[in-house]
Amino acid sequence: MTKKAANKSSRRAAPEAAPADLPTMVEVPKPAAGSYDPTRPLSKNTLLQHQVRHFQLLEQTLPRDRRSGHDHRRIVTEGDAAEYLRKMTAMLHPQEAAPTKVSAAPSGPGKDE
Amino acid sequence: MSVGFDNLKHIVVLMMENRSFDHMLGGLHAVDSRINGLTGNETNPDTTGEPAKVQAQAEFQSQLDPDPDHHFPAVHKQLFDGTPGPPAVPAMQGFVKSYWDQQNDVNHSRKILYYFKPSDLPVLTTLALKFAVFNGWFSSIPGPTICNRAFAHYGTSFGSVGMNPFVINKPYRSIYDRMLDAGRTAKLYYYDAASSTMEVVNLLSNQPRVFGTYSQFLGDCKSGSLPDYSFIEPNYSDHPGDGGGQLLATDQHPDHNIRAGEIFIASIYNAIFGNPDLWKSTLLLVVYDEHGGIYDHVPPPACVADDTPASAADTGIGVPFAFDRLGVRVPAILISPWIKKATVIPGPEDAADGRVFEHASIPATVAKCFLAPDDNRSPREKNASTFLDLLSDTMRRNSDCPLFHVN
Repeated sequence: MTKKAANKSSRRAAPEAAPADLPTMVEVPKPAAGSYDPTRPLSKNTLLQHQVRHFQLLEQTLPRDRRSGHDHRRIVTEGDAAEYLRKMTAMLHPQEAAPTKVSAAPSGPGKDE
Repeated sequence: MSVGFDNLKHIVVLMMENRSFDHMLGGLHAVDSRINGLTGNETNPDTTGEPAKVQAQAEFQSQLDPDPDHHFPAVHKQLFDGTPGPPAVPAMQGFVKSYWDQQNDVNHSRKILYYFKPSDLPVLTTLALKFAVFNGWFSSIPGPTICNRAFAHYGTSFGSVGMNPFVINKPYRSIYDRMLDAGRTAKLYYYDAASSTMEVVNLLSNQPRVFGTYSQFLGDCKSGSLPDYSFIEPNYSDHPGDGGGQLLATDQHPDHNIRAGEIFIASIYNAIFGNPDLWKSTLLLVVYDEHGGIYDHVPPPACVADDTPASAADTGIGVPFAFDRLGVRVPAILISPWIKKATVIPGPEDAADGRVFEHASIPATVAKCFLAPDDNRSPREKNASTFLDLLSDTMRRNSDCPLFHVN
């Protein structure tokens, strides 16, 4: 066998590396510095205003010993709202750290059609 | 059904806040003409009578201040101002005038027509172009957040067109309730305690077991213990983190930073993509709850009426509302490796093949996937389009999918 033929044979025998099945990376810019503003007035966000109001209404239905004791007149910024919501949510949902239960059910009826 | 459907084990829905389809994805019409976005010639009259034009000048923050009015009376004006005769097909010509009402500033009012360039939103743009984008996903009612989100949880808002905690006056249970009663699993993940959930009065106070947090969602993705159905809420406020640090709101509700929301959407996608078993068995829907008062050019169509109307006093426009017209169009993107690349689901612009979706499509789809047929659902949910048929027989390679990196 000539050297050329040997080389050709050797190249044919070497397994080709499978192309890596890698996703396409997409860069995502961060927000500009200074975007964070917990002092943003609550009056500028009707959604947050309503969320706070909903918690306040709910709180009025609770026994006195389960109420937050929070001074609602001091809720004037997003940060203030967050602090109140944190308190109320922790009270309503103390098990937030509980692990999710995995379904033991087989494929549902919809999937069997 | 398809091989993709046979592999489906999890449905995940991420619902963002207050941005219209044209505002976020309208610029994609220039990239793919099948996407029913903006040509650049769309206008709305301002209060001087001059036509203000749509412009690709939306900013990430501080532009839409004050928060554009998106309550029922304002949206009624946005849709029907300039519509001759009794409101039939909305003219979509009242957005600039509606925004003017808030500050009486002509120049500022025109900004309600501004939209993002595709390059401004690398996450949303990439997902829309790589997976499936809906030309015809509409908010469920022409009004604000709470009643629209209710359609995603219950298939109805029980006659509410506003933001007051609504009274559940019909025996329609939440999709979480129905899933758990059927032995399935479901979770509503809110961001953290300080952001909490919008579902306070009904679900959090009555069914705290339904809830988890964003960090738990990430952990569940990693450990492969995601429930059958997950609904994710973004962070609704700028606030300090539990361990210190600054947490930016990620909901994209004006005036929160758009880029923070992009990062959040990317994190949800990356969490699912990062677990190969999860990636091949999960269908992710990224959708917005309502348009936030921001312009869109597509008239919301009429729909099957729901069975609890809103009174004239509740609507604030002097006439009752039968929930027989959808709200303004919102961005909606469906993600799965089983979805054909660059799928565009036609909307009302396609008379032959157009399909209309709304937030009741979410419980309708989850129920179709996981639950036995049940007639005890709202008329809107029973008539809502579902989206399981968009799963194909072919799973795409990873090299055909994105992965997002925050720089």
